[in-house]
Amino acid sequence: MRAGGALRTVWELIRPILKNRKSVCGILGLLFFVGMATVGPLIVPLQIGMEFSRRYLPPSLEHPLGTDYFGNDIFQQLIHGAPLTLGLAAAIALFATLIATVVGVASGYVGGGAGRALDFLTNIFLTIPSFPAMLILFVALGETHWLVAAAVMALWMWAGAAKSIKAAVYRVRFAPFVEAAENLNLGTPHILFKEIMPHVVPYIFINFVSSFRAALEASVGLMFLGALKYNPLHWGVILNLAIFQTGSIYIARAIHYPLSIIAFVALLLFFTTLLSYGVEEAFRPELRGYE
Amino acid sequence: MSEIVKLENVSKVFRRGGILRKESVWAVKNASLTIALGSRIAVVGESGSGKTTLARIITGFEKPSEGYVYWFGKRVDELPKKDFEKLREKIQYVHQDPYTSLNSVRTVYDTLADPLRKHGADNVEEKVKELLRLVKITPPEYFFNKFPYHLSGGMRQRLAVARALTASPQLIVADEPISMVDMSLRVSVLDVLLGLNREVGLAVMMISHDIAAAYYFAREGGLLYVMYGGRIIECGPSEKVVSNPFHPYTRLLLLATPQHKRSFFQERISMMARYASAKSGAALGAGGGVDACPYVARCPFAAPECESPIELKEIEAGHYVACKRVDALPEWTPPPWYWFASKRDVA
Amino acid sequence: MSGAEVIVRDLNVVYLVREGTIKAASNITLRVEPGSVTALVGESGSGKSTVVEAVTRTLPSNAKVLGGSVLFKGADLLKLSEEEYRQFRWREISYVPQAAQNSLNPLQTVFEHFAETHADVAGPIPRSELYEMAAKLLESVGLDAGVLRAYPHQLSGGMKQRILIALSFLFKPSLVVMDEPVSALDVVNQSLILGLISDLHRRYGTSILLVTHDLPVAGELADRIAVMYAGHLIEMGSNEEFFEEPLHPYSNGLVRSMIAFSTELSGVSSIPGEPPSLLNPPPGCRFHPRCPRAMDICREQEPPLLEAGGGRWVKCWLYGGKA
Repeated sequence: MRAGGALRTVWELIRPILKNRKSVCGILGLLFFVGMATVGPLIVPLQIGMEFSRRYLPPSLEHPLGTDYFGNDIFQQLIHGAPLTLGLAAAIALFATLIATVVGVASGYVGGGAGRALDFLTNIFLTIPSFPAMLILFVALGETHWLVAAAVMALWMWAGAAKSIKAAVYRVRFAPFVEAAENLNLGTPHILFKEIMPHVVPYIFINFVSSFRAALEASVGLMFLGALKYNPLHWGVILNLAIFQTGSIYIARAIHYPLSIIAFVALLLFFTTLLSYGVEEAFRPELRGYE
Repeated sequence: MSEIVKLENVSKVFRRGGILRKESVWAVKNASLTIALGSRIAVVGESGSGKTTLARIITGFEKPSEGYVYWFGKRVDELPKKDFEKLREKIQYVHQDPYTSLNSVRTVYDTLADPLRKHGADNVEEKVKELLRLVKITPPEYFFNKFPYHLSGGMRQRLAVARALTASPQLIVADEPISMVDMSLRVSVLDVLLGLNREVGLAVMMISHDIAAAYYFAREGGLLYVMYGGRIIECGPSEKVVSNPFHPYTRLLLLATPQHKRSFFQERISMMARYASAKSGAALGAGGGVDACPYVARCPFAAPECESPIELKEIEAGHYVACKRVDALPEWTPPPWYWFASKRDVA
Repeated sequence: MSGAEVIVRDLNVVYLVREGTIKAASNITLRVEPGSVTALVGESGSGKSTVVEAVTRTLPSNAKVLGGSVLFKGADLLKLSEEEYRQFRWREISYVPQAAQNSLNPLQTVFEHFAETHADVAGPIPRSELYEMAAKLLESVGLDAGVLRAYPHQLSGGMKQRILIALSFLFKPSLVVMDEPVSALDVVNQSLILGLISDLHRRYGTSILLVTHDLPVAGELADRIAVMYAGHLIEMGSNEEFFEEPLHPYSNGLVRSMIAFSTELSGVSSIPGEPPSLLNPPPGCRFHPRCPRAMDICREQEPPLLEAGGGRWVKCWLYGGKA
């Protein structure tokens, strides 16, 4: 009964997400991108060369998104750049959510002086503008391993989530059922993980999804500006190439080059946003308009 | 040790305000009472009377600002943490709102199994079934996988009582157990509590704003306490307090309780008018100093002596009242709509 | 001014939710006699608030009226356009909603509430005239005219409720609908407000539809009592006859579950079981799972509303109506 109970609790948490139209839509869209990042590179070969005769070919069956300045297929570049782009954003979001959860839950549950100290820490990171801070740090750090880069970026993305998670903990911390658990001496571990956390998990999840979105935007932006280590397949770099290096936005027949990259980024952000809206709706029925 | 809880002159003050201005609210003042093993007590008062604060002091969720609380003869403020926790288990507080006193993400089974396992029970499933049967949530197995939102208010309240029983307590303090429950289901909740008292020998204290429900709960051997403005103003055997009330507030409360016979309505209102002054509709008055009778602002019989401290005095066997003007009150006869109106002494 | 008659006929209202439809009020037929106080009694989930919201056209957006009519002063209130209904609101029908104390605007004084209400319905009038009107109304509910200058947060719950009742009588309507007018108040204020409602009823002779879950309140004030259970109207009759001998097994159980000093307390009992979900109500009579006298037909067919003589109606197979 015990393991069944835990699984059931998790299932009860996930089920509303699967029933919500927006989140299912978001999940399906994201699955496409996940497939793109995982299976794609195995299926589609990478052929980078220079065949100027095939420059700026419009989208066709052979080249679904057309070709770039060098005559290389754009779609294959996006597919091979997907693992890094998505992986980096996911790693950033994971680190950020981890820090946010630990800090948020601690400050919400513990309270008192320690809680206030954590609040203060959170506020510091919240008020320092993240993008300029990241930019400065990366310029100072120079070339680093991508995981280190992810950690540095996560450092500036956890504060908002921590506040939201702390609020979720705080809301139930003083609930009558927690008092009843104290009355029965159920112990802090039980109270924290079995009574309080199930109410907080939806917020952790929502924050993970929005962190992913923010991380994607930030990493594309940083790559675009050249702040992160150069990798020619990162979507941000491809975008940089398209707009600044090759000037394809000034050429009418080449417009598909920057547009297709932008479209993919926009689509990915769209599905992520859809998923996070859906998750929020699933756990807060008052947000559902059609009910 | 036949006393579970003893309160000695307990007071609780809440201070609010900023740097310049501080406000003190005495939620409970000079309350003394004893809860013996197997006893049954009802505490009646309107909101703001201090009844919930009193209940929370009894169960250890609030510390008194003055006076002492004893659990099984030991001073609670002197108890080391481990002893405090051990004894606290034996005194269980059941919250008023059954919609927030149960965790919405835990099933009925988990709600009871968690504390049972914590207290080292071996056959947990059997014990869960037993408890559910005790509070008349049957068939037990059907409800194992249900969540609180599947249950009605009355059932949730009974489940909360079952949860309190997992620690084998000696005393259950039920705070407004029926105020959020539909009328047709109230008796079932009260009967569960009565059954625990009469058949299992548990001491049960019920807090209520409904004096009729309090009387129903405390009749035939129970005590009724009436609170106003943080003070116990009358107490005694339930039948005595209801058939022969001495305090003007108790009388007002009894007359204000709706009954269902239309023919008596006007008479009830005019009888009530004798105990209600023009200020009776006002909120809990702030009149009088901290030591005055808290009812002085609303009492139609108030006199200068009411500004001095009041004390509970025995007015007949076991029946105490804290009022200096008892002799000035009109004669009391049980209102004609009372079902026991024909009987003078129901004790 | 005297009260008008209201006839609700075959009213059917559902709520649309993602899980399906909640059959909140099905086949409701009831009558409020002119100048009478009719209490609509029901516990949570009975559908009484739904009926009232349908009559006062204050249903939420996910509610759908599937059928039925509400006849009042020669018109079917359900079929009127919003513009047409506005002629009735406040003037012929006024509504004191549940927890009404929260419907006072915290940014307006009491006088401004009167002014705004009057302006909305009949256009603005000179301040002095309105002041006199408002002061008289306040006096009739036992409040001093000085209250007109106060803001809601300065007033107690009882006072706010009195103001709302005064407002509801501003145009001396023929029907006042009150949804749980006293349940948010302490017991002393409850009785005072009930006395007030009784006085106003006597003074103005208006019809009052009083919705409450508190049976003793209905008993003290009402001329006629209508009981709802699980979206159905299951009994209707005169006050004294109802308490003397409740016909429907649910009404009987309800009367026997009253904890009041006017009843023999050793005989009180609860109704076993729980009220049903209105998403998937039980077939036939919705009370049959809890009914001590359920018969086979009760489980299969919904009983019609049968006349039980002397103006009493009951929706129960025990009283005839079998094919």
